[in-house]
Amino acid sequence: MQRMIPVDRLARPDNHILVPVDRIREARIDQGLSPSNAMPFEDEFLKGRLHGIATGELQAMEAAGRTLFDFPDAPWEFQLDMARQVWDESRHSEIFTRLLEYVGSYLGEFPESEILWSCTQIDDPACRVAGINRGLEGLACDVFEQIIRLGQKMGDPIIERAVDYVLADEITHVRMGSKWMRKLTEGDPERLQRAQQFQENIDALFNFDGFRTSKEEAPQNPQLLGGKQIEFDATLTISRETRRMAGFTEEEIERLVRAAARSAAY
Amino acid sequence: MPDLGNRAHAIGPQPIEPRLVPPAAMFAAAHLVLDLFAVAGRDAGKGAELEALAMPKVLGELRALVEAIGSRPYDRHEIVVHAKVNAHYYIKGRLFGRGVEPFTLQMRLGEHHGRWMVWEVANLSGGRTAWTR
Repeated sequence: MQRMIPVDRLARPDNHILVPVDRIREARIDQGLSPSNAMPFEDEFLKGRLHGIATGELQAMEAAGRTLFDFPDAPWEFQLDMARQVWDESRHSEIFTRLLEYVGSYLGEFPESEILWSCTQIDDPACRVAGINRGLEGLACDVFEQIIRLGQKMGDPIIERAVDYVLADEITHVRMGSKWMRKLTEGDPERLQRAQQFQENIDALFNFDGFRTSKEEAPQNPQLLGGKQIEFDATLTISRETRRMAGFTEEEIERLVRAAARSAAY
Repeated sequence: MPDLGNRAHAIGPQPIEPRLVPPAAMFAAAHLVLDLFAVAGRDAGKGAELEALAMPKVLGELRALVEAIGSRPYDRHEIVVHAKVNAHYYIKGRLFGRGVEPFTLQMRLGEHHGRWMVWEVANLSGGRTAWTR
């Protein structure tokens, strides 16, 4: 089996549609929409968001498995943590596949993009866990916290509790990433800096051209969801308290919030 | 929820929204475009018909795809799967013909002034699948 599989070699069954993220952005621009992910104020936001998460969980499962395979010389405990993550992500994939059916969608209704897999393209395990576990799973903490609040506003305990169940695992994954990023770079500050930079690049990738704010600063828009008219965030939100639970420092959270705000300025 | 030994007893949470069905006109356009792709390399008139259904920005890629399909005797097709990006639809299609390898392509269709047009195409033949090493 090949190590370090590049983005364009990500295989999928024949009945899946995989589209490069640039093409998906172009498809949105062609329709007069913002190029980034579906925003909370758009029709089908909930279906599109849950679908993106479902395919993301599949890619997270593949990524953890790949990290296990790509670095055979990593410590045994690291490999065990990666194996546990594969197990967690497979459970998440199943949960989100069923949540899709619950909201009237199905796996494959929307195209899958390879953007999450592109964040695994690094040959250092410290960078890999910095990018995936701290960067992407940190993003997942924000996204899931927002969906939990959405479920609460809709009065929907199925969405609220299913996503809360998954969020508990994601917090663990972030902590695993922090632990191994520090352990694998012990005594090598340059390697630690590279890992942190790799994570920050991934954080920047998901600032969505200014459509990402702190939870407290998110403007509210009226939306119709699950047959209910509610006021909800018009942006994707950074959840300070969830990130604190996941072990991010106040300084790291502030840096992320400032970077998201700077993205809006351009 | 307990199913008391019979899985059929477990109803579980019911969907809160219906599934959206893509418009029939989109599928009709997809079938037409795939028919034209099958013969465009052998029939200049059909090639022109195909180009008339393409947005200007995709003409170059479309012509390259027609060239890749060439003059092989494709005479039927199937729509393998579809996916949506807001009001546009990706279609993965496959061309078949006697004595030739199937040809797989992907395209994005979207309405433009009330007409379903081709906005994007991709040649998926020979690409990596779940089964290639």
